[in-house]
Amino acid sequence: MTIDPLERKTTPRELHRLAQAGNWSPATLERALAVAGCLPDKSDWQRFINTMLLLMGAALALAGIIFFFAYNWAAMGRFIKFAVLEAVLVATVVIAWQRGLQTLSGKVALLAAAVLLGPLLAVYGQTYQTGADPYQLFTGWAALIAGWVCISAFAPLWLLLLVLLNTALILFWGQVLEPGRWSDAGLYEALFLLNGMALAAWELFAARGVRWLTGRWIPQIIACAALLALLIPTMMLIFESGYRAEHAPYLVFAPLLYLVSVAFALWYFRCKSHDLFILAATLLSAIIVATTFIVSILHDGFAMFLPIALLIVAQSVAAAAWLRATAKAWEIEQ
Amino acid sequence: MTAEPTIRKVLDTLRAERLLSDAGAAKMALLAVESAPLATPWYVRALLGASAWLAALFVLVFIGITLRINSAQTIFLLGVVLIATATAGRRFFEHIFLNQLLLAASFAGQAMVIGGIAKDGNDTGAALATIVMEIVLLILYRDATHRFISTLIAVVAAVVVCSELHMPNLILLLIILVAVGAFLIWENEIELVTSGKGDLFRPAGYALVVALLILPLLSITSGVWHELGINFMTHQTSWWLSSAGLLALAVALEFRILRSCGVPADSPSALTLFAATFLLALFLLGAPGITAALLVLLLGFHRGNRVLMGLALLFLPLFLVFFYYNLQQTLLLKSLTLMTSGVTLLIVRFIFRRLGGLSREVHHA
Repeated sequence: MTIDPLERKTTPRELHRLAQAGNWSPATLERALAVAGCLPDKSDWQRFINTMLLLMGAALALAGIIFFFAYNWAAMGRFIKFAVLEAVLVATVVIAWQRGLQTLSGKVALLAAAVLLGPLLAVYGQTYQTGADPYQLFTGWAALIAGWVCISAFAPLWLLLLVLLNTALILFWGQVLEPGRWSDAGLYEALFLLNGMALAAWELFAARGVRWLTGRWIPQIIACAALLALLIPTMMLIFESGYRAEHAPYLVFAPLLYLVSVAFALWYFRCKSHDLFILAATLLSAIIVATTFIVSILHDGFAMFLPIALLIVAQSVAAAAWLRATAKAWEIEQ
Repeated sequence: MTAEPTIRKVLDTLRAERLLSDAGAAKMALLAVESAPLATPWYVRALLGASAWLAALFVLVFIGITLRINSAQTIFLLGVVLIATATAGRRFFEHIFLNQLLLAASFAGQAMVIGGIAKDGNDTGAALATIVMEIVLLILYRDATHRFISTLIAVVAAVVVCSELHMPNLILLLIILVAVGAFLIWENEIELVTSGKGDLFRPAGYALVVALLILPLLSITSGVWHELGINFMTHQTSWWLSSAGLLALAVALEFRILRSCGVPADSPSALTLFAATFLLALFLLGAPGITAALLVLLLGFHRGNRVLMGLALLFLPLFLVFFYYNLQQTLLLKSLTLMTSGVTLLIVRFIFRRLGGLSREVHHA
């Protein structure tokens, strides 16, 4: 059975193209956009006004309340501080329970509760001077919200958990471990492993059809974080003059991990999980590394500037052309 | 917005309503069936634009070191030659590699032109020349990325002029002009597209929206600029003037929206919305960034443009963060400003729903 090529969704860009090619009048284009649902009708405006008045009103009022408490914070007694934080925390949990975790408002309320737990722990630490290291605050925060994260089926909560774990790892590395034995390169590689595992878990469960994992912006953020975690030590190694293994242990693993990760990412996100943004980010990191490497080789003389400029343009053009060809191939596959 | 129907449905509807002839509809169907040019995602454009900038920097350094140019006139003339070559090349060649190279050459040339004029200490002249140059390039250089950046550079140059002339209230006029420009472009997008000027004005429209969202940050970041030695004299600036200008635009936009929905401007719902807009602008006189973000959000939804809406929603929390750290107002005043605005919106929502919203209103011709 052949598929009618006109039985596909249209876009404003496509209608603009047809309007220009067909010399349409403004009224024709406007009607076409309205029929295509690209312009809001009265019911859309009704919903928009209702929703925006609620969201904007609530956001501005909440921001005002936060500003008010910031104004009075120093003058507040410790029990009032605890009471305010715990009251808001309990309120958000009650809202989440009443609305149910199947609704968006319930999930957002649970996210708010998870976020509020952090300031509560911080006030606890300040008030009772427990002597705990900062990394323990973030670790404790992550541990306390883990249960909520598991039952929420809400991607932003998982992202919050990952942010807390990353922060705890960074603080732990800097405050507890010996810098000579566990260098900065080791920290970046550990961050890569943490975020890489999170991304792998996301892709695995998304491939199995878990419904709330269908959005792509969170894995895109995680992928960028994982790439950045390897990009920095790789560039450090390129610029490290007189690299000595005993001064920078684990640094040598970074470029190896980086190369393997880039190759895998380009294959996986092209052939298995179609994600053009992650492919673009991967290619951008590769351009940065390649250019840095060449600059480090040609470090003498001004003559390198022009070839480097041409190299940058050539690499970006090649990357863009490959990305376009990839997108085209996906469109044909569909 | 309802679910997007198919191309066939759109063309059939236009034909049924006699907005397209049978021959015209058939021609459009044929065009639509042919492979449409694949739209380049914004992040790929950003990758290409950023690489062009970086390449331009290297080209500039190379030219500067190789030719050992010290004369301001030579730098200026060399810049003009680069820009002219790039502009002419872009009009005649369509190749992705060449496009990026020409983009880099144009940016390098522009930097040399500005540097050549500013080298003798004439910053105001350089800024004015930049504005003229960017307007000319906006028309002549046929590239969306270049047009977007040209518009932004022109706005930045205008801010520099305001600062150099020690007339801080000119920045308020600039904000209003930028807002009016963005409003006119997006409200007339359909006319611009059908007259073949869409490719010229759309990138400029996006740039003006970005500028409209960023310029109000000057009202709350004066401390940062003073530390950098850049004196915008923002502590003497009457920022409420820009809020008033944005209010006028918001009301004008609401008139158009209500008319498109068939709601009379003197109906209770319409008057409620106007009153809410006026009150909100009054409370937010000292925070023009919030008014600007709400205006862009409204404009974006009206045009069905998710990019504009996304920019507004992205900028709003950013402005609130800067607003928090602004030392020109006390935290108490800021908190009262925000709470009052928020509660006003919630009350307006309550009244709006009691009045039945837009659904009860019928426009009698």
